[in-house]
Amino acid sequence: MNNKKWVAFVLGATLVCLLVLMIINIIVDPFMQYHSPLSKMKPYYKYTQEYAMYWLIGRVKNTPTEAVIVGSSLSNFISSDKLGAQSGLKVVSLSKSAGRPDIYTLFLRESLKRNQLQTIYYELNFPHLHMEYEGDIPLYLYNSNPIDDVKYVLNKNVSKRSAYILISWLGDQFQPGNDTKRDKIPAKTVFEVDRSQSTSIYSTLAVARSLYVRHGKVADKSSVIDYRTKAKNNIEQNIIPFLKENPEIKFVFIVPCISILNTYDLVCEGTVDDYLAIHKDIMLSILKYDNAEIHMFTDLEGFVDNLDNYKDRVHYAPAGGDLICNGLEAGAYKVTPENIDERLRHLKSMAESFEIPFLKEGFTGDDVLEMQQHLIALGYNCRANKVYDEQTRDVVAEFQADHRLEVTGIATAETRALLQELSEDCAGTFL
Amino acid sequence: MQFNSYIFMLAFLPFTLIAYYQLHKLGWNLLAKALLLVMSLVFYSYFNFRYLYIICASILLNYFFSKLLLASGRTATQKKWLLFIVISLNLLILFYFKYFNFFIENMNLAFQASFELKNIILPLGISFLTFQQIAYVVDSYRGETTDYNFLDYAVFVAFFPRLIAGPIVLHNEFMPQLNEKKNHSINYENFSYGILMFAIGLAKKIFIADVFAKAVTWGYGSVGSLTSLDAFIVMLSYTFQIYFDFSSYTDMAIGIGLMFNIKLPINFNSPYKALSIQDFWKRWHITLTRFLTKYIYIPLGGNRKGSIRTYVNIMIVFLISGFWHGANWTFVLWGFLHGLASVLTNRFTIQWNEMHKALQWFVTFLFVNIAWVFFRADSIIQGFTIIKRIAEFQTPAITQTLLECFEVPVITGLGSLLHVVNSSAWVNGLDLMLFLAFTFVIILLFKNLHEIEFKPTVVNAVFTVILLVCSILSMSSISAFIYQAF
Repeated sequence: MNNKKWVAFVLGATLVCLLVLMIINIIVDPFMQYHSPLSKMKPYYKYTQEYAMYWLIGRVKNTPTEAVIVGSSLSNFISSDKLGAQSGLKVVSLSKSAGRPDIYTLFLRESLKRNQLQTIYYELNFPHLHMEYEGDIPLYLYNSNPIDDVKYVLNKNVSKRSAYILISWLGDQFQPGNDTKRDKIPAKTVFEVDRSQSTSIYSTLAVARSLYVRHGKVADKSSVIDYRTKAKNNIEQNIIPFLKENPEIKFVFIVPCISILNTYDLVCEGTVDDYLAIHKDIMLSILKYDNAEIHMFTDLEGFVDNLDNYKDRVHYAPAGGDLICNGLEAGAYKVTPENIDERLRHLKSMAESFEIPFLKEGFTGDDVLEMQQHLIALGYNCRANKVYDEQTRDVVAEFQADHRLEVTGIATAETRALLQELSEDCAGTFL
Repeated sequence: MQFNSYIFMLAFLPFTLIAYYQLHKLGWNLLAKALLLVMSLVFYSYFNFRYLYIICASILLNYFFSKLLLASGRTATQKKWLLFIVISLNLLILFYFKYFNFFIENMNLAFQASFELKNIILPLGISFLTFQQIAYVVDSYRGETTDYNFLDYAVFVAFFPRLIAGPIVLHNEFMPQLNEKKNHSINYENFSYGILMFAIGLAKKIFIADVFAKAVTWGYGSVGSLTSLDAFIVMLSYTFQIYFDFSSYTDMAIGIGLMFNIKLPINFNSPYKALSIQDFWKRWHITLTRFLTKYIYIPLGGNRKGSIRTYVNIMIVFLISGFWHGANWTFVLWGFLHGLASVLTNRFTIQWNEMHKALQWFVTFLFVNIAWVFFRADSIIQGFTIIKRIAEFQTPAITQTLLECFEVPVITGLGSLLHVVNSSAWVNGLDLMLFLAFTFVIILLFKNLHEIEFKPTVVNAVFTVILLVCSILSMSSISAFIYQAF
């Protein structure tokens, strides 16, 4: 082989390889940038969280629809099928875990370009309203520069998915029914995928084991100001323009049924009035537009105050999704300028009367002190310092082990009740 | 424009190559050179359009002064003054863009003042640009340059393969090649070797440097929670990252240079095989060491003025080298450490040579590693924290996140072939260990690219194709080169 041939071979072969890959990626198109899944290969397409920012925009581009849901993982259980049946429209769900208004804007912009939308369901989750999306966004799929598509058609991840789809499909052509696993994971809406991925345990203990910590400190007001600036900014940039420019589209804002713990924390840190005032402000600024309606589910009595419906402070059980769908249909939770004060007052009073059923490491407060005193009364070696620290955790675990409770180091309702009972008995014997 | 980007590889480079040789073929040599200059400026201003003014101004300034220096009939004093002025101007430009904010910060700190920081964008590779041109004007002062025309000079400074991260080229290495008649048509021997160099460089960047980069970014981002073993691996990772990152850039630059029939000087010669610090600096960033030796160390008197002056000169050179790398005290400390080590090995050469070779290597490698910690750290305190972590020598434990940085599909695939997937922590550890072992093998046992005698064979052709295709597919998340920032 001489040098000239070598160069010709290397450049030629590289070019051919790249071209072949490019063509395969365009034909199979695993993330639906150019067309919806080929009917024969449809079962092999997978919509995983890992690549959500790829296929969500593909879904926006190539699924004709009349209504969309944009939201975070808190919208996973708002079933697009159910909403579709209620409204008579074709609804597509675009919920992205850890989604924030800035990426909803990206989705909506593209969707408005391609569809005659009639309704937009928009998740309005106040605790995250001041944030921006933090994950990576393959921006080349979100602009209209066709040259940028080279990053899609010559992409390792895309090629990997394409190869997987092609091989699975070819495998089935030769040995049909060999892949039994496949049938168990049907390529359904995000809603289904996320349900299978997330922890399915919903209980107070699950909440207690999550990252949730109640701080006893009074929050300083600068965080409130920071929240107000950022949240308002987000609304101005990502929501108001859509409302203004699309007067013929109905915007249904959904304040999802996150647990009462969110408001309870604000009560504990003494900022509940500040935050609720901001929320009111924001809702009123949205309601100024005739094409907007807001449905608020944060004060759903019997649901948000029962932590058995949650796996952390915000993620609610599937039943919550049905409640929201039903609520939207009946319109019973609609917020109007007339009833907004009453609704927020209701929320606040629910939070104020809420009693947290568990105590865990990181908590501070009088209820912690009370429990520590009970433990001391029972002869456990514990400091009464109002702080649920490591030592307290170990003592609680010791107590649980002694009384054949599940050893978690978390003072669950059961543990606390037993403690209370025993320490009262104990006090009785001394008298 | 980055070398590892689609636009560079699929559009910019092919177009420039074809147009360059086509213009030469048509006999329009001047136009071919002009094209090279224009494309180089396009390459540079693609990062940021404002860079264009800076580079043009810098080229014009230096060319003008070199002309003045070369003009006949000037007295030695006049020439000295001219040289002084032009070097000062160069350093002023460099100082303004690179060190102004650092200067202000330290002024504020020292005098409790509160001068405002300016929002200055650091033009990529400005340090390389400045050094190369200083070398040129000094050569002009010495009367070593011939009277090059402006186009030649501008191409020499702006030649895009080496524009942003070197190697630092001297005029007599570059101009003759540019104007050589036989270099004006494709030379397939150079071209094929150039492709191989480029492919290997690209793969080194994407598949080795960027893997270590993940670990380093994580490690230096969470210094507080590192275990001893974590800190050690992070330290090692940076040592490898900076080598593979920088040398891969040089490989690509040399490869592209060869495609244009221009041989750029080598910049690396297996630095981590070094047996002493002086040896290390003969192998690491060779063109910088050459510059510092020729234009600072020797003019200062080198080693001709007694041992004390030699040591002082060495320290000066290393402190300048450290400061050249960036506006932060960490770089100065890094330079100081290397200077100190250099002085010490210079003083105790005999004792050092009596040591066993393996021990020499180990001590050198360990020292280089520790110095890199300060080079990378955001502050000197952070550097010390990492060293302290390592020295604490806790029970061996590695954070899961760090292990995950090294999950390479090939090795994980190998693991599943060996049916060890059931204990996944073990497999993760396997990834890390194999990756580090693989890197050590490359660094210590492989020959340098420039030492290999390249013969076109089917095997290395297929190898090159695989490297190119895999690299191009993996480019979607594009990362920058470390040395551009210096």
